[in-house]
Amino acid sequence: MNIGINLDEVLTTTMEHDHLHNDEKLQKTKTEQSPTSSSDLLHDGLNSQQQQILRLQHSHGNAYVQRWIASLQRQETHEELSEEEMHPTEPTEEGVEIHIHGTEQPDPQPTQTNEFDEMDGEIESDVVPIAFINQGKTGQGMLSQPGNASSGFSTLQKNEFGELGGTLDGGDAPHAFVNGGKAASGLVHWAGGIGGKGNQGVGSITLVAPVYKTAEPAAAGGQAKAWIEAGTGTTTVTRSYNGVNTGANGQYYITAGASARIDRHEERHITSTHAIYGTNILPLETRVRLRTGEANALVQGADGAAARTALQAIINWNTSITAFSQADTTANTPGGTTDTADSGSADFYRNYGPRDVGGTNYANYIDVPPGPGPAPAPGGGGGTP
Amino acid sequence: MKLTLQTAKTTWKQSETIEIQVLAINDSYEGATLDRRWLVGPNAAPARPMGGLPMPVSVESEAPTSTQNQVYLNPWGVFGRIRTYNDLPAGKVVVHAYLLNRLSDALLLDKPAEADALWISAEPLELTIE
Repeated sequence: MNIGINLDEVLTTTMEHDHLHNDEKLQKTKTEQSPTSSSDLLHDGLNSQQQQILRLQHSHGNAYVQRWIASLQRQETHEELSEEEMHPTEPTEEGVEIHIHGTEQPDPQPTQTNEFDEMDGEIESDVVPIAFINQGKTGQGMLSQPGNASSGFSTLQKNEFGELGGTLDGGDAPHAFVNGGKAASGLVHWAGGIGGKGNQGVGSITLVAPVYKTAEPAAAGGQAKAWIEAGTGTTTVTRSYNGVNTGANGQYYITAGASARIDRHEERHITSTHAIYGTNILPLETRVRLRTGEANALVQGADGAAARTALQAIINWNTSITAFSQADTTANTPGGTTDTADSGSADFYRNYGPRDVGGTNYANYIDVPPGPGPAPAPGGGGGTP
Repeated sequence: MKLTLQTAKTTWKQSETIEIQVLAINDSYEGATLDRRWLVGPNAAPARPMGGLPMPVSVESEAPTSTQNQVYLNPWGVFGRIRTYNDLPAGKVVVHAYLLNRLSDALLLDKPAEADALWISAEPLELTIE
């Protein structure tokens, strides 16, 4: 910019002068202690152009000066990139546009933490092995694959069966709970298969840590701003499961009723995780959304660092993520509270022992109460399996 | 009444078929009647969870008539049940069994969900699967 004076400096100076001018009036109403007013001192330190601007400001007001300077700026736009394009502007309460110089930060990387030790990447548990094998069973929908499920953002966009959690209304960061439902069926894992398992580790969550942007105060004594860069501060919790084959499962025979009950059991795990997500992650997503983008910046603190610290305290990223992961692990780890509660249900599947089914002997006949009835007696008597 | 869990050995290879039996023994000098539905087990519970569905408890089907569910045990008579397992995971496996004093639908591996429905429990059987 080549208009003879540094406009940024002038604008900042005029705003400082306004504050000092008001302070001066206040001082004079109280005492006349100062032999030289702060206004005088300020004027002494300005060149003639700056003093001219100050006089214009006093006689015509800030808005006039702003328009005048803007007209000077527009004259330069034919020769070079405008300052506006280089630095977004935002109106202040005084009606003066000031330049915002955000604190640039690198794009989020899939690492464990960001520079503020906020969790990033994926949290996975080794409790539930992640494995997906398409057994080729007909009539089974393949809703998601674990490899994709853990990729978070892009998976959410692609998974037509995904259930979005919360009531988010657009924006650049689709935060989500993805209920992948029943991904496949297979041999029950008691017999070494993949059936009857979740496809994601308990407590797992895919994260993109928030990237904080800041702007220093527009003028001395003003407040800084901090906000979250769009597309960051995202979380994706994905859960899906594999059902079990109906009928022969190695030494187990699993009835249709038991297979359906097993599906319901796995869905209870998803429901449990969803509830924990609602308690811990959904409020986090809301907090992030409310402060995503410069327009939603938190205005607080003497400088950008202070504003960012205040915003981090509001977002409370790590605590929320950890709380989710721990609660999900407690509830949904094998033998956890979800298993215990469901196992005690009156309709839970049971092992009715050895039985002949269609001429094949199975060591364990898995059914739901009241079970298959007594085994047939030799010659066709007795109950009906 | 006494309840015991028995197996041929406490260390098994994964490739072997593990046979476990639970025995309810009338260790008194008077006759006793059991309802076959009161006996729950053997229930295998891998010490390190298998990462999926809970193992099911072992029970018996309900007979068509109430009297068919009753088992009369003379003194030192035995009523029992055998279950076999082929694919238990490597590591420790604890096997449970218990006897109810009334019918209960809420059955966990090591006890009924309703505590007052428990009559006696067998000493858990610890197996090592290699």
